Amino acid sequence: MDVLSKIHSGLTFFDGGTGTLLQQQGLRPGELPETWNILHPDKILQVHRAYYRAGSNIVNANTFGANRFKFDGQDGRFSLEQIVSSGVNLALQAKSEFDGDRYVALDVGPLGKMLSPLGELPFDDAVERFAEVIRAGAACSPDLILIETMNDSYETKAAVLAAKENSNLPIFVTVVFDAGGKLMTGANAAAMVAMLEGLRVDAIGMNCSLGPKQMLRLLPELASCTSLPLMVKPNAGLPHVDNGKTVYDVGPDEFGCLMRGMVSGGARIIGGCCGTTPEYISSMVEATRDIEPLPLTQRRRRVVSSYTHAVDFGGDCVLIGERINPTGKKKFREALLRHDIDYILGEGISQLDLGAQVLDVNVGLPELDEPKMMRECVHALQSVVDAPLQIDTSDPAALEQGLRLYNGKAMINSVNGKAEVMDAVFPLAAKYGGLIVCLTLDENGIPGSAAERLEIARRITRRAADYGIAPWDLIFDPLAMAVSSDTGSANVTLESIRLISSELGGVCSLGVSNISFGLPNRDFVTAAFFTLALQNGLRAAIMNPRSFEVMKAYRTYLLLSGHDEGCAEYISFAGNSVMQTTPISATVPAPADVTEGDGLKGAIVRGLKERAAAIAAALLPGSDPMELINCQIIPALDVVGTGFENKTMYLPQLLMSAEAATAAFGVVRTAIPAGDGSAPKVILATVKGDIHDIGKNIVRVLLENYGYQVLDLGRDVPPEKIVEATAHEGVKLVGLSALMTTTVPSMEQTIKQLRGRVPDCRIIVGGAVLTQEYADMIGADAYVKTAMDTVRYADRLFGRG
Amino acid sequence: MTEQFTAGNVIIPPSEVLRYLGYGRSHPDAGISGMLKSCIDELQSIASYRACRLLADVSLEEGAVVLAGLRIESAQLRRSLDDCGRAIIFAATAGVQLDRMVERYRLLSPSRAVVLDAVGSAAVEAWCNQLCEQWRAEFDGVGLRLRPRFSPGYGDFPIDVQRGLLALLDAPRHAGISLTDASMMLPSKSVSAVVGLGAQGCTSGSHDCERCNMRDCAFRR
Repeated sequence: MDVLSKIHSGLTFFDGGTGTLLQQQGLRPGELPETWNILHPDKILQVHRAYYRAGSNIVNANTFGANRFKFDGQDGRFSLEQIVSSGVNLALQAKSEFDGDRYVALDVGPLGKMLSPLGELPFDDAVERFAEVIRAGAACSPDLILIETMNDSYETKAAVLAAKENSNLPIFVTVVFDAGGKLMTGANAAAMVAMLEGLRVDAIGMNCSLGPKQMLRLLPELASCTSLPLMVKPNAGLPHVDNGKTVYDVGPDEFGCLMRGMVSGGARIIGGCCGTTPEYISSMVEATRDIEPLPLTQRRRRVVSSYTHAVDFGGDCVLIGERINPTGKKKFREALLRHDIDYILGEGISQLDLGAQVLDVNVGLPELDEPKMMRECVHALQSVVDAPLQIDTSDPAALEQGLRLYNGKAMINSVNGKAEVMDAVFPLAAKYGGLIVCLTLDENGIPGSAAERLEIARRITRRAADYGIAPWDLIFDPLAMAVSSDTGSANVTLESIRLISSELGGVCSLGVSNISFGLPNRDFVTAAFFTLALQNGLRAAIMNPRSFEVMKAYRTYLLLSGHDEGCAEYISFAGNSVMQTTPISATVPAPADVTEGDGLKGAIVRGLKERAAAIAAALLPGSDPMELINCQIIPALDVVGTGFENKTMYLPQLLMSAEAATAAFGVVRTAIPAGDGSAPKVILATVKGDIHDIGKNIVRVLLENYGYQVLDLGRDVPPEKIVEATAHEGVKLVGLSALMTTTVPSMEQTIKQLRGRVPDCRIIVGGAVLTQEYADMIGADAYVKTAMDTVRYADRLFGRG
Repeated sequence: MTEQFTAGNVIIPPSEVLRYLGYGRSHPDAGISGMLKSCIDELQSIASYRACRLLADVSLEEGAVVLAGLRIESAQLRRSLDDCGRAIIFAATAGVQLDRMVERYRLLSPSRAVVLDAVGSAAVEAWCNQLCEQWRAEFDGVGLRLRPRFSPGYGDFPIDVQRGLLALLDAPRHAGISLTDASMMLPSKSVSAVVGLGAQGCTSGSHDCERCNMRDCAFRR
């Protein structure tokens, strides 16, 4: 029987730890165990045989740590292919000596490097590193691939994609939870299950780090979200030091007993991890042999996930923020065109703060390379927001880029009843997973009746099934149409929601604001329609979280329908809304120790952002904007800047004042004709290899305050990119930052290249490790110790200030 | 065998955060104090304190030590491990969520990003101190005293040894700590260190600026 039939038919036993056994035979700390596939094949064979003898059905090949980073075939090191093929072949050799249901797993562990954006390994490179392992392993024909000990959801996704794209073998995945049920990079069980089921793996579970007692506590949550066979491989308890030696606290007998509890709790593939030996496995086999695992249950969960959590569409209506979209938004459109990713991120963060649970991402503009832009935005959003994303595009190439790069199970916006669209989108959804928004329209347009919209929903469901996509991965959008052009349109939409629920068992999402198109005070209509739709069973709304009326409708509906425990959400919402209408002077008591008065200047000196903006707005109608800048804002900045240099004020104050000034500038600028572009340009970058950019960010804020146009190239920037930008923009001042001695050489390299190509440009350097000495050594024009030093240098250079 | 440690809560002294922010002996005003407190609360809500440790055999050589087979040339580390037959190698972190949060505040409020960054530095230091206190009690029972913790990059302890130490610990697996190609630790608020275990303790405190070569360090006490 093949391994998939085996795990579906009953209990399956995995093997236990390898490291402990090899250490007993002389493996030294820091020595790579996989080298023993070639150096001591007999010892590896013995370990495999011992596990098969103990009753393991599946044995892991000794390939856990095999990847190109460790085995590159250079300088006398083994090649990856040597290590992997010898490992799989040894396990296959051991298997051939035993009868019964025996299998070999290609064991795939983490790469040991953090993926971008948290680390520096690009997602595509991670997929390729795993693909090398999979290709080498699959060539030897093991029975399955086990991807295990994963502590990052993104890396897990990379490994699974590599496995799917380079073999047809069954894929089992186990991840490492801490005692609180989370991965090191933050994902909980529901998030991991959503992503991995979306990727269509064959078994899901947990291993390592915890002992069986701790895993038993996590089991119910994991079991309650997955529909797949559940796998559990705990350590032999937790290690502790006893008489100067580190030992695990659970013995073989107790292990067997606890694993019996694991099977009663839903596990059907069981084994051991660190510290477990054949003795543990045979005790486990003995203790569980006579019990039947729980039957597999289809959970039918309608979920999406991010790298931290899942969002379930089975409960209260989910709010999907619609603001990341250039349609009808001039500022957003401009930001997209000038490639201002920070602006887009700001839109994302503010929607979440206002209550959105999912973010729609639409970056389609005819003048842009949409697939490339989608990649960039998904990548950047994932570094600052932890909400699931909805990939919104009609371009299948952009959709694929978004889904591939996304760290979790995304929402897909959208398909409709057109055969051509379904045939483009469903294969991608089947490969990457996703909850698909299905618009009830087709080649003939949008039907006028609810019954016809229901019919299209049925057709979409059938076509999805052809691609192996379950009904619970679909959510229908029965289309809200402008009530101003057809006063019956709201009723048809509401009836469609009811029909799709009662006749098809489906759930619905709506872009609610369409309903009010062409009417004055649109939010009044949108909010009332939203309430009606909620009452009719709406489970998701694509909406504007900034619309007070719509948010009010949502909060009050949940309150009145009994979905707001203790009225807590409503009170928090209503309480904050009242705050907004209180006069500002009543909310900000003036600190006694500041003498700069209550005006704009005082607000900036004290770093009161909202207050500075409010005062600027109040002053603006009767004042000359340039006078506000020159007599209030700039002098305030000088007070703080001088205070900082004299050490009477400190960095946080300096930055708070800078933020307050930025807020005031933002208001005042609206009254000034667009700039003539005469502000001097400065390029800032953290050099290649250096990923810490907090210092550079401080400098940026201050330079902008003092009227410079900063081109911030970010962190880990290659010299070529800095040179290119400097030459292209005709920039006369470049600021480079480095944190550690290890990245100073890369700074030196950058300076050398800049000198060659743009000799008239000045280069200043700063950062924790830099000194005047270093700056001289690497040929910089100046060393700047603080952000204010940078401002002063720039002012001198450009004859300002 | 590498052991793992976690903590639900680590007490972060506000005075340390202020030191990292350059306050020296000055006191912050009410606004900054308020932000400091709320930053500490926010960090505590997302911090994930993890650590891993390995007990290593020590052999002492002229101007160098060998820890679990790894040879380290450092007279100061050699001195710190004097008379020690064994040592603790450990790595500790305040977790990766902090990096995400600082990045988020880069966009929302740079001043808060800076304060949170300093809170993170203080948090991982406090976590290391808490671990060492815990281990001090543990090894007291078998008559061993902990020497001050000593990290790569301090004094003449070469920073590039960090790669070897993290490999011995298998720190990516046991604490989620890895190194970039340029030897930067990820998550950014992480520490690796060596702590000697000897029959005799050491008279100096847990971190002794006097021993460090970095004379112009902004945080020198």
